[in-house]
Amino acid sequence: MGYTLDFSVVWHAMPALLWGCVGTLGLALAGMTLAMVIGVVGVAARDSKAVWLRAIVIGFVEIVRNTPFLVQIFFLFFALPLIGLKLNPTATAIIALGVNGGAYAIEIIRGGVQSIHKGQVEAGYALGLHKGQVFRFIVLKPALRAIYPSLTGQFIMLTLTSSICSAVSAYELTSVAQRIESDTFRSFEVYFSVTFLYLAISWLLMLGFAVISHRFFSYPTR
Amino acid sequence: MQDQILIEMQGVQKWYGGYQAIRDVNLTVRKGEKIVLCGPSGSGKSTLIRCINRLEAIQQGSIVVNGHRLDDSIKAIDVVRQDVGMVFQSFNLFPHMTVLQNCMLAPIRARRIGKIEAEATARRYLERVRIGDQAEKYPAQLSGGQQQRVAIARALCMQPKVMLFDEPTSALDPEMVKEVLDTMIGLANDGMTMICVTHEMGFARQVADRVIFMAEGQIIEEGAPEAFFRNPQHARTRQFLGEILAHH
Repeated sequence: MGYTLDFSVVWHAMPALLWGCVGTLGLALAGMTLAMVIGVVGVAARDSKAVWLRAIVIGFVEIVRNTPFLVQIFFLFFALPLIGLKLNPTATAIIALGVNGGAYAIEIIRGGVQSIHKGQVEAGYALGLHKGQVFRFIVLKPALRAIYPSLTGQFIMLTLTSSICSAVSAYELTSVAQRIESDTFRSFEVYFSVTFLYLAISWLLMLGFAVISHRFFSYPTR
Repeated sequence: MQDQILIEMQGVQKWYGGYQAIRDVNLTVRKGEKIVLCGPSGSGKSTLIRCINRLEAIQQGSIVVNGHRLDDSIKAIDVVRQDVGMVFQSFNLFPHMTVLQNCMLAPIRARRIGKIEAEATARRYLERVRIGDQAEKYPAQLSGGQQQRVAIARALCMQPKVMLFDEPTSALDPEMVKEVLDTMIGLANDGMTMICVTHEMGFARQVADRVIFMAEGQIIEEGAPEAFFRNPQHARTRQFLGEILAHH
């Protein structure tokens, strides 16, 4: 074969790759935030009395979860400008990740809400709280605690999925890697290193999730 | 004013699908009255008190609480729930909040009372149920009896006119029943209007003004405790009393 490994290429490109990591983390955190908002609001709407609202949420979840992410982001990036909605690649990526992650978050959080004993809700009503207050103050936190491992797992997935945003040339690790690779033709070295950078990003996020869990969800249960 | 009517139920009927849970119940509760509801399981006694704060909707009849008629309007339900406190069999404390936070949530969010005042009220009622030293703990760190006393304090923090107790000692280990009953007796002695679904007949004898016996969704008989226990009028009541008193 005669291919000799040369990691000096990666070494020289490391600042660019690290900035790519920052881009990936930025997209991921913004996407998670949006996904979380969509998830919580979606769960509240999913169990609303209004049939049309429930239908919208169910339809949204069905469409997003049963279509490819790449198609979703292409739709946002190429199709929406035709009806006058022009978004830059970063905004497109954040919205695509948030909407996609949000659909999964709705299903996961809903499972958590359903795991809450109905007596908790009744106690809230009996104390004179409204439906929205019961959800916000009584149901939400124990529900999130119950599904925290699945939700954070989904958020790691969301982070790794952000690599697909390179398809609309959003600024993140994979697109940076593609550029370096096409400049240097050092595919093996570049993607080998990028693999480990993604691993490091995942571990960093998992550490962050553990800190949040310790801070907010460490109340004792029996 | 001992004669003031706090709860007036007239011709109340409730169905779960084809099953009739409450059959034509009429019940009047005056201010300061203590009522014990008993009956076999499935007799509708829990359902009946859950209708009073609209945890269950009724299909026919009327319920008026402290002058407010319960209908489907959110406003009526709100007003009534602020006047009616409830204690559940399974405590239903909020696990993610400390004891103090459990007691402050509803006064702050539903009554819109300031934080400082809510905390003062909460601490006062926690002292009253003799659990003031546990205010910073979480529910899971307390015994069942302590949790139920917190639940009583939490309900009292809303300063209700009536307290409903839905089998408050049924989920407790035997050695913890007394501490909860003592708290309830203290509350009764302070003049609280109470409706208690319970099989604690000693409690009924000691504090009840009236004991009501229900079966198959109907009120079968009611009377002052002495007469009720010594001389029950209906065969169904005698059979029930025979069954539960045999165990005590």
